[in-house]
Amino acid sequence: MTPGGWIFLILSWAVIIGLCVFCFRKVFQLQRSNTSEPPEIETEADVLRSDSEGKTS
Amino acid sequence: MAKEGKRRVRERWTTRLGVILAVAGSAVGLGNFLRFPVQAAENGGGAFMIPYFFAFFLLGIPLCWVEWSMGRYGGQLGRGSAPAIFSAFWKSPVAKYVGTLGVIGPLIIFFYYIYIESWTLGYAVYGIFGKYMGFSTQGELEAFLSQYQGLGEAGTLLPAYIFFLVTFAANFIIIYLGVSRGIERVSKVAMPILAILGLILAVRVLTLATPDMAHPDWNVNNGLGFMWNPNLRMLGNADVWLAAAGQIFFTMSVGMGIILTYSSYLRRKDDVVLSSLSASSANGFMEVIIGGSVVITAACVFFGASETVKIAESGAVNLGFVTMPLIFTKMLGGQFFALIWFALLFIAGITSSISMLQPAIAFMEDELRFSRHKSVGLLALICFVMCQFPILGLKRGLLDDLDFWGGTFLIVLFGLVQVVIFGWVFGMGRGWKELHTGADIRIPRIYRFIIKFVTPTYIAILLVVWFIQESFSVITMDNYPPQDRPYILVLRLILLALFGGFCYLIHYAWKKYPVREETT
Repeated sequence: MTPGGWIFLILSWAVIIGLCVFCFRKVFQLQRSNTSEPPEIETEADVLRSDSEGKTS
Repeated sequence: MAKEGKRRVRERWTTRLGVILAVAGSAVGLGNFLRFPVQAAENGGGAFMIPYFFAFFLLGIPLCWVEWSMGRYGGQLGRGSAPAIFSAFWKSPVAKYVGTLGVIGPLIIFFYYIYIESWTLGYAVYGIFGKYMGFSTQGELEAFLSQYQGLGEAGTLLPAYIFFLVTFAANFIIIYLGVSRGIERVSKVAMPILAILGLILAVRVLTLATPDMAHPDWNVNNGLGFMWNPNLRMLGNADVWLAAAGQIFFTMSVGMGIILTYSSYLRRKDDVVLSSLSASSANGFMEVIIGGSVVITAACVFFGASETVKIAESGAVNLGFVTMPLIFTKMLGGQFFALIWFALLFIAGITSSISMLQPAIAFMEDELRFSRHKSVGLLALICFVMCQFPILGLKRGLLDDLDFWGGTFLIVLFGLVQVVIFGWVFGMGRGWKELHTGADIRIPRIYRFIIKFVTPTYIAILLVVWFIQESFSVITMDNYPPQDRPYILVLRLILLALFGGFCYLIHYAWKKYPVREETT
């Protein structure tokens, strides 16, 4: 493996790992901060209501 | 379950991580571990990563954002398939027919992909019983594969067909369970297992000692060098840039209509920007880090650089089903690692193949108002019939032809249509606002310009170059032997008929259920 090969390998890995760490850290942070909120559950009644609102507007 | 004809309650993803892993599972497939290393090794080694990252940031990521955003928008109208979503973005009667590509495209890939996926299951089971562990040459393993595929004189298709049936059934059971109970649950379990198996294999390969002291240059360092040493002169070759763009399309599941459907099960205020980037980065990890470390490096360690050139040229299937089993026969604990390798490929395969079915299911449920039971049953019938073509016509090149239309041509064409509809027809101003609805991170403003101008131009160049270089030989079937051409022609006519059938179904659905809500 030449120094050029090492440079390309390390840079490529750094870009991908950096992107993964950035994204998943953010996702898990947001997930933790959202856990206190009640879960949003869509019922059939919600859909029917949004349907009728859509038709009247 | 809601009755047919009535609008049903659409399913939703239950967690954000679930949808990210489902999209990542769709993207991470056989291409990450077999196609990527071959492409990189043949197209400049480390230098390939320059056009690769160009395509990743200028094609892959913008297209993902566009697809996620369009899908979520369609989901708010109770629509999850490309025909209806395109109609919502483009007020033209043609839009829905153009959207057919987003339903039929992934199905065409499914028709052959599931057969290859079933080989991985077969080889995993055979690995447990050590069926190919006694072989010691490429030729023996090639003969074993031919026999398995029913191509050799003494070969029988029966075992391969049984594994196909098992794989086929597994896919449809998951799809039948639905988005949250089926796809999401499977992805949440399968993706972490996939990452662990990939890491185990990568660590094993990167810690291999020189197996043959007569060839001290056959080692991990030179194996990585084969894969990563940059040949910068290759960057002047347009084919290298095309190969990188093609790899990005294939690996990120963009231009297939799958992400459109998956994101239609999001809620209005769910983020798409960060989720899309997370799924893309997970796919990149499995491709660049795991895919880039295992196959080519191991081949170099056991066969040397000159032999690895021939192995890479023999294609991804040979690499996965001939070279890798041979490597495992020479490796300490090879039977265990063979099982890990084929289990990895099978999990990667099944999380991708189930995603290819969902656009058609969404089309039947949302547009034709079929029950899930009926949708899954009808789709299983269509798929089962169509899967017989690559299985029975493997020798005639039918699998390759399906791969060209579904896995190469249509995804690029559909990607272009999609980004033009989003950036030009719907308008970048509205599109940008739609993208940022509920977003947890902001997209750099330069991407307004990239989505509107750079991405469509990039894809248009790909199509024009393809048209100039290859379209004639593809249409005239010059790349197939004369005796195979009638079979290829029949297959193409059947695909056209299938396309026509879906267009008719769209016409029927729009006529039967003419009222279509719009939020624009």
